[in-house]
Amino acid sequence: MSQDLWGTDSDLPEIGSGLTKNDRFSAILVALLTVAALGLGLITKQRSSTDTWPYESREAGISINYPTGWLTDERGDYVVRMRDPKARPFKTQYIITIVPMGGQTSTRNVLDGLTLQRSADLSAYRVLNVQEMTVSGVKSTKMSFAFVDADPNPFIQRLPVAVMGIDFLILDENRAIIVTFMSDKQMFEENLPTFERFMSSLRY
Amino acid sequence: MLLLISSSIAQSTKAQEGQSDEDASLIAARQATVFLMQTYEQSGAQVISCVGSGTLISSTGLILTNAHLVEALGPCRGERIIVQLPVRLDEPPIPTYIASVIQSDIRLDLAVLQISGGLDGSLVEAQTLDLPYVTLGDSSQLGPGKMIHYIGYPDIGTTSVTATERLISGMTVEKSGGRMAWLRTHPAIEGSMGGGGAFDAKGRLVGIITGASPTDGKLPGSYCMSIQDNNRDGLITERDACVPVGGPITAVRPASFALPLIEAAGNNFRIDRASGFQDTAPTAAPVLYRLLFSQGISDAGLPSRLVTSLPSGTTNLFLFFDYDNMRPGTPYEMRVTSNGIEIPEFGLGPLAWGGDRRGTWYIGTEEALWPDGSYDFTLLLSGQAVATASISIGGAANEPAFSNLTLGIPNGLGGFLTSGMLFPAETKQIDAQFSFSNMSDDKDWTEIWYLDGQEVSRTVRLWDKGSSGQASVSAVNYEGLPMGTYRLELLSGQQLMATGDIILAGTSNAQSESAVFSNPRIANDITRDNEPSGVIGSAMPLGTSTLYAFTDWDLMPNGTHWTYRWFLDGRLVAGSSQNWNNGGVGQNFWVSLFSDQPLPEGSYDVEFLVENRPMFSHNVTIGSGTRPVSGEIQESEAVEISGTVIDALTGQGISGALIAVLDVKLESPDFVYDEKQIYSQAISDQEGHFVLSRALPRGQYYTVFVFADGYITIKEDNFVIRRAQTSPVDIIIEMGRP
Amino acid sequence: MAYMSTHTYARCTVCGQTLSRTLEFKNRYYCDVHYGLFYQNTRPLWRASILTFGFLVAALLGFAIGNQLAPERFRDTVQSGTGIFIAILPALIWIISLYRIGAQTQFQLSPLPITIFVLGALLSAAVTRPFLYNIVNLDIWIGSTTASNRLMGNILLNGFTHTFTLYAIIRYIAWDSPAFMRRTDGVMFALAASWGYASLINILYVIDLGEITLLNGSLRLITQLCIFLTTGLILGYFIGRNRFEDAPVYHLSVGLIMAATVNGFMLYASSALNSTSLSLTQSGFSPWPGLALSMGGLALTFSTVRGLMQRQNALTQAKLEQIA
Repeated sequence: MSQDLWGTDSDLPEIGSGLTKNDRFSAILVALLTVAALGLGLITKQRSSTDTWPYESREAGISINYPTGWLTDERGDYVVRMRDPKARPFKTQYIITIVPMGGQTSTRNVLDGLTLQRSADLSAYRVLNVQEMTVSGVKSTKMSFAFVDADPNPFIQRLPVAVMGIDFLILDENRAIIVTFMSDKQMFEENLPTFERFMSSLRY
Repeated sequence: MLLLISSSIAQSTKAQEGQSDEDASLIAARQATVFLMQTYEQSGAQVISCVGSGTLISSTGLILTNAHLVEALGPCRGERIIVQLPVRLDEPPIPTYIASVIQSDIRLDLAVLQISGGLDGSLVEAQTLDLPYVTLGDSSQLGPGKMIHYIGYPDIGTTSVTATERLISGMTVEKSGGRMAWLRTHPAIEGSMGGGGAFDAKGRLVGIITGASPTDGKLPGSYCMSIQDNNRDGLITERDACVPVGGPITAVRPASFALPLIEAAGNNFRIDRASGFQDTAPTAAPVLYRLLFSQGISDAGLPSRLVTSLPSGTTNLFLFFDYDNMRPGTPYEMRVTSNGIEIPEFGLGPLAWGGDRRGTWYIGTEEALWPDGSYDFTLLLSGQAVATASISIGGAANEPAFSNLTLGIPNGLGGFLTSGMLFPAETKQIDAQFSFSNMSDDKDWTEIWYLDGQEVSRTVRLWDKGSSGQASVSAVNYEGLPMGTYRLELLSGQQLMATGDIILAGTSNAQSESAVFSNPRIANDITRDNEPSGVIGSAMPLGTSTLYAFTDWDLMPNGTHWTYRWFLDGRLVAGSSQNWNNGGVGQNFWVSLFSDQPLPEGSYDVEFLVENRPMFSHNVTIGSGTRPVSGEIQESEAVEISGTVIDALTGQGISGALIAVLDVKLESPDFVYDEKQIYSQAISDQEGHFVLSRALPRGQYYTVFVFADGYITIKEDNFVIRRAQTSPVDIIIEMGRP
Repeated sequence: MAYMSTHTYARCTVCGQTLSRTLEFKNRYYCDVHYGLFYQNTRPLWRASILTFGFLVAALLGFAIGNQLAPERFRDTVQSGTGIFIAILPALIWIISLYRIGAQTQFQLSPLPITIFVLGALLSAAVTRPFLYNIVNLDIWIGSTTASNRLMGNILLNGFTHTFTLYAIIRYIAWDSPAFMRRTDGVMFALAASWGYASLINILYVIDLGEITLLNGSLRLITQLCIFLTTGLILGYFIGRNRFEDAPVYHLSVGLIMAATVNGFMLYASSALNSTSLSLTQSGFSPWPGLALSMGGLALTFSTVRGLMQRQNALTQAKLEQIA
């Protein structure tokens, strides 16, 4: 038998080719198994990035799901601030604030108040744009902003970080719910989908 | 091999070698030592006018330093004070903040600054600052033979903060502070460490290094350094302004002098007073004259025993001199030489003048043995010798001498109704009693009285009172002696034997004492016409932010040295001394104590003194008069923790790592990622450095988390701070990659 | 088709030679030459491996002693050139000693192990690394997720990717080669692939980091090396067995799962164990526990695989002698 018959004829007996049926199926099984393991791994990865913990404030009448492992803080002049303890160099954070609205208070008044306060508190604070939009079927106002985050501690040599943020202002009867997202500018786009999931879980 | 590896594990994870308590305390003191620069703007450029060191005495940014370094004195313009912090102890300081003077005492050459803003002009909330600081030690425990540590910046801020130790060699007595005016050490240290701190072995601030440039800081030289091209000619030459640096420093102002300033600064107290006639700045050149040696100082601050020579074994010697046309901040120095060799421990300075315009000053030593020899005393102003005097020690002890000259109103029984320096105006007779020794009869002696500098009486007699004993002379005017400043001089031949000053001011009270001030009242407001208003009385409501103390005055000669002081719960918190410039008689003179926030609850006293004699003291309470006790944990019971977070594999710092220390009661399973559960935290900087926001109380176990993206989270439940742990402590945290 | 299913056409499973008489063992057919070989030991493999492990142990002793004597020096960083040298040196020692021992003992070794070594290196750089780090972004996820996810990710993504790559190199390159003539050659090829694979992973790791600390960095490289060699040993055992037996269809899959799980678990555990106590004097990290785990795992796996192989070979020899 010539060498070129070897392996070219699919009917060649198994013992002649050196590969048994077990060998062939085994190779396929290994490949399938690997694909399955990788698929499972990717699903685990995907699920972990959307894992959330619930947060509820009865006082403010809101509930929301925020990313697992984030720190919550209710001690500031906000309802809650959630921040990613691992994010570097700026801690990505979501802040929920409730502002009372009077009969003559407009959305613009609330946003101007935010701008004035932040201009006093934050370095190089700039409002980038303000636009009306609908989030999860609710009409809201979105304000994009940027500032420079610098550590006030003189013994800490942290480079100032350019931070981008978004405020979503939702009118709810006689109050405005402001949901703020702030992230290191370089990670902003990457972090945005998680924030959008966070926003969509808001109940009030 | 296992043994080796296990021992190596312990070795490799050892982040820091143990430090002695003393080293750790001094590290803390070095961290709290700042470099100060005064700058002004010239043609858009920032020009440095003065430099020195200072010490942070509170986490909220109070800095203790020399007044002449931060006030507009001499070449210093006092426009902008820049604070440079030792961000890394082995590197030069970094300009970080702007500060302003909130308490200052030029006489003591002490000032307290408050950090008020960032370099970029941003405002800084003092309460949000969390700066390293030192506590004050007990400077009264210091004396010759004790070791102290000087900490400051020796080289116009181009080198890192430096600690140098010295033994205290003695004390120098000076009118600026009395018997404990100065601690002295040798050898001298660098001039620009002036304003820095002197610390005991536990790192407590016990003194303020004090020294001024020996020159007036106008001409470049070794004590005034040209470091900037501020005339913008492209060159740094003598035509550019120079920055004065202190001469060799051997003097330390004990920290106890700073307590009232610190107390006032800590409570944000300010003081003010009704403005009197403006005293124009002296135009004539300053003069120092009438140099006299005395073996003692009277209670009135005058020479009690004038001498021209002294026997062996002399331990007390003071040089008295009069001064006029002096300006605050003028560099002055007393140099003592013997056979042409300078003896620094007997001299003083250069220092910045803190006295008033004219008066009598003294500098000297107590309980310091003067070896036999001839001593030349030279007084210098701005580096120039202006007056000299000599005295020999080791001669015969039986020279003629008058001593213990005491002036007072006679009681008719050979004693005094009242004695001292201040007497009521219109007093008919003032007696001067003195002791004499080694005198010989039939020699001329002279009694001279001066009123406000003018000779009004001179009597020459033959001495007939024997060798030793007591004698007296009198000034008598049956119509009453007019108010003013009197001086008596007693001479034997041409030799001044004794001298004394008195002031006649005010009316006479029941004890024949001078009563200058009357009708004291306290109010919490004032009208435009300087009348008390608001609440008037001895109880003020909570929320009072200003206290006005009003008084009327009678027969007070201009130029009289007077003082007012405010006390809170018995502690001196603010005060000022000056020469009276409001005229002889008047009503509703006021002084005030105020703050930009409500004055704390407590019992306040205001006290008026004339020539150090108390005139009156008046009490007022705010609220219940009891200060609330702070429930905060004493900082001294806690350990300040700083450190570096590094990548275990590369050794590089990890920026943005969050270090969280949970409340003592919590362990890691209890942590639900609520920031309320975090007791202290920090985020690491570019180099991985961090400083925990709150010090950790000793004797506790803590749970610590360290988070950083890309690294395995560290979770430690047994982070112990032992009772014996020194503070601060610097740790290294290594994070592994997953 | 014209061909009949008859033994006449059987070929040697090793060299492919047409067989005139059939020598069969567990459904594999051999020529006269290879029938007597497949249960033989690849002697240089064990000796070279023990020698290299001995070198690693000696090196670690050196690190331990050096760290005792000059801890500051060992905490210092070394440049990437030195790091690369540290990363590649053990592999070079293994390859060189394999061939030298082969030559000294007149044991004929083909150049295939070198080819496999290079292939392992190339695939780790060209396939698995881009897949894991650029497509899956595993490093970012692993660095930010929980411990349980890190374990799962290490096994399912890291473990299976690495193990399948090593498997594929041997299964599709070495399997059909006449140089694969002994069961223990399976272990040799798997180890060669692992050496190449792990060395290049380490080299790229060092290049990525720029510089490494002498102690922690070097020990991490050795830790990784041991983990991949352990993976290779497990995989080599199963492939070696399967190459010369018509094993059940799941046999290789079991091997793959075992190797991938061990790989992923050791990668996870070695990092996790290195997080040690944090205190005022301890930094919260030590390179030794993870290293001890990986070296212990390697030593255990090596002795187990070697023992199993030798036992298997002895049994086979006895059986064949009985048949003869």
